Amino acid sequence: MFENKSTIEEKLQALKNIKLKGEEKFRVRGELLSFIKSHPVREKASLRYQSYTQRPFWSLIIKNPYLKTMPIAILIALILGGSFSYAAEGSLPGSPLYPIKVGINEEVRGWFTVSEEAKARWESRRLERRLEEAEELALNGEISAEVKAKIEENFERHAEKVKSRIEEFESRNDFEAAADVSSNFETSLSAHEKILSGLLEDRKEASTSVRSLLEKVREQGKDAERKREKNEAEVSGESSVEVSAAAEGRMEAAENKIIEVRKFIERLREILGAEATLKAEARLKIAEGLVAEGKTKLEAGAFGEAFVFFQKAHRVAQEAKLLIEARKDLEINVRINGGVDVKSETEKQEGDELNRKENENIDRNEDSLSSGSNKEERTDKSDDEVKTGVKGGVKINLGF
Amino acid sequence: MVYPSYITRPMSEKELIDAYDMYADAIFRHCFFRVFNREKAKDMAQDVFVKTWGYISRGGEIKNIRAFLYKVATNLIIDESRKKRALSLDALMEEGFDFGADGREKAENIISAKEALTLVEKLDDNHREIVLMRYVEGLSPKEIAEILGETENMVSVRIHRGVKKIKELVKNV
Repeated sequence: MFENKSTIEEKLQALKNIKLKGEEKFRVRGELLSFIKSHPVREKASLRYQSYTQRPFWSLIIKNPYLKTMPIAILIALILGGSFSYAAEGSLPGSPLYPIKVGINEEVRGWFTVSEEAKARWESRRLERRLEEAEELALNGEISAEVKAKIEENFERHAEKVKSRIEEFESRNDFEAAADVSSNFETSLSAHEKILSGLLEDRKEASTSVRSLLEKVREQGKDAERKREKNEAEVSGESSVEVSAAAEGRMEAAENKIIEVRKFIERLREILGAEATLKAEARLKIAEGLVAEGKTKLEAGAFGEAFVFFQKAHRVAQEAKLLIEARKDLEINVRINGGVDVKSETEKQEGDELNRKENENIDRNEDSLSSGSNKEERTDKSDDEVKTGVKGGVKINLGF
Repeated sequence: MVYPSYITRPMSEKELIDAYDMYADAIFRHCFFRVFNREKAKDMAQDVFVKTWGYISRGGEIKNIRAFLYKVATNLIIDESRKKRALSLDALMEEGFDFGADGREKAENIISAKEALTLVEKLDDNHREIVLMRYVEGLSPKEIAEILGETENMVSVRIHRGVKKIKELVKNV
């Protein structure tokens, strides 16, 4: 009996031979890996608190590179009361509140981004803000030498930050995230290159200020393009299970982006005018064409090529959006050129209302705990700003 | 990022993949002995790990990954049995089936496995499951109790009965 039992146990052990075949196990493993990559961990509120307490407010003031030239009076007022932070949002370089916008508001917002992708996206957004500020200044006339230098310095700083985040993703072999971030980076730079060139043509006074910035933007743009191409190649070279998942994710993102930009155009149709609307829609058609081509590649099993097509479609759509946004702001300028017209005041207010609403929606999204997933972009998580009073204006041809 | 001990950190990707490497076969087997269909069992096993990651990525905590995986598998099995597929181990053995041999498996292992199957063939599902969990997967009665949501006592009794049944069957052969 004694013997019986142990023999039975031993015999039962043989059932361990029922298992997955080596190749089956490997394949399922690959699919699991893809799934994991496309569903990154959302970090909990406790972690959010953690990173906040590790960075005391005081060191933000003392060690902040942006605040070095801030007048003491403002510093004291800031510590004593909080309303400066809100007022600072619309400030431009050269204004006394500007260091608060860049050195404090933006830094604190950075604290609340949690995932690596969200951080990278925020850095890109900061870069865009610098360019938008420069464009606004250029529109109003000349930019002084010191302000110009500051703008360029900040721009370079952000660009380097974005690039180092891309490199971090690369070093962790997360080529999809690297491709995603570098693609967005490329788009921002390319759109603003066009805007700055347009400014250069139309505003001779601003030309000296804008020219060197434009050069820098072009250079960074080339860099971004190179990085994007390199990372796309890496993604294409991954195992077919991983690339097909990446391609499908990018397809979804591209399609969502197109829908989003279309809605955006719809809302702004009246402000934009017929010509700009048509041009924007033409761009979207190109993006759709690229998606269609990508789908054909997907069906043919050429996942790497499909991935590249979908990325490009996303870029084209995103660029259309950035150009419309710039156009929208400049158009508003045009309306209130010269005198204060009741009609144009309401139109300007409408434009600001739209901005504010978008801002609220996006802040709600960004402050929520959703992580930046580079595949499942539902709404645009890139940012918009409340643009306070912009004066004067000229019709700028964006070569759109 | 370094986490202090009082903040539980989410399981990392690497840890789940390690768990996969260690337990995928066991989970597959566990499912197989309920659904008696290789393909289905394979899909279910994959599903277990995918669902587990879904749970982790949404902030879920896991204290014992092995037990967790079995729990998820058990739930999937319940779902499957509701769909009802009329299969039995008998029928399967009659048809003959794929042991997952890579060709490198020794013939004698396959023979032993076939022999072992005859031992558990006639058991009912519940007894079989528990006997396999105990003697093939090496789970302790306590762990089994946790996974199945039964008392430890219940589990021990059932294991005992299962083994007794096997011995009777062997004697009668």
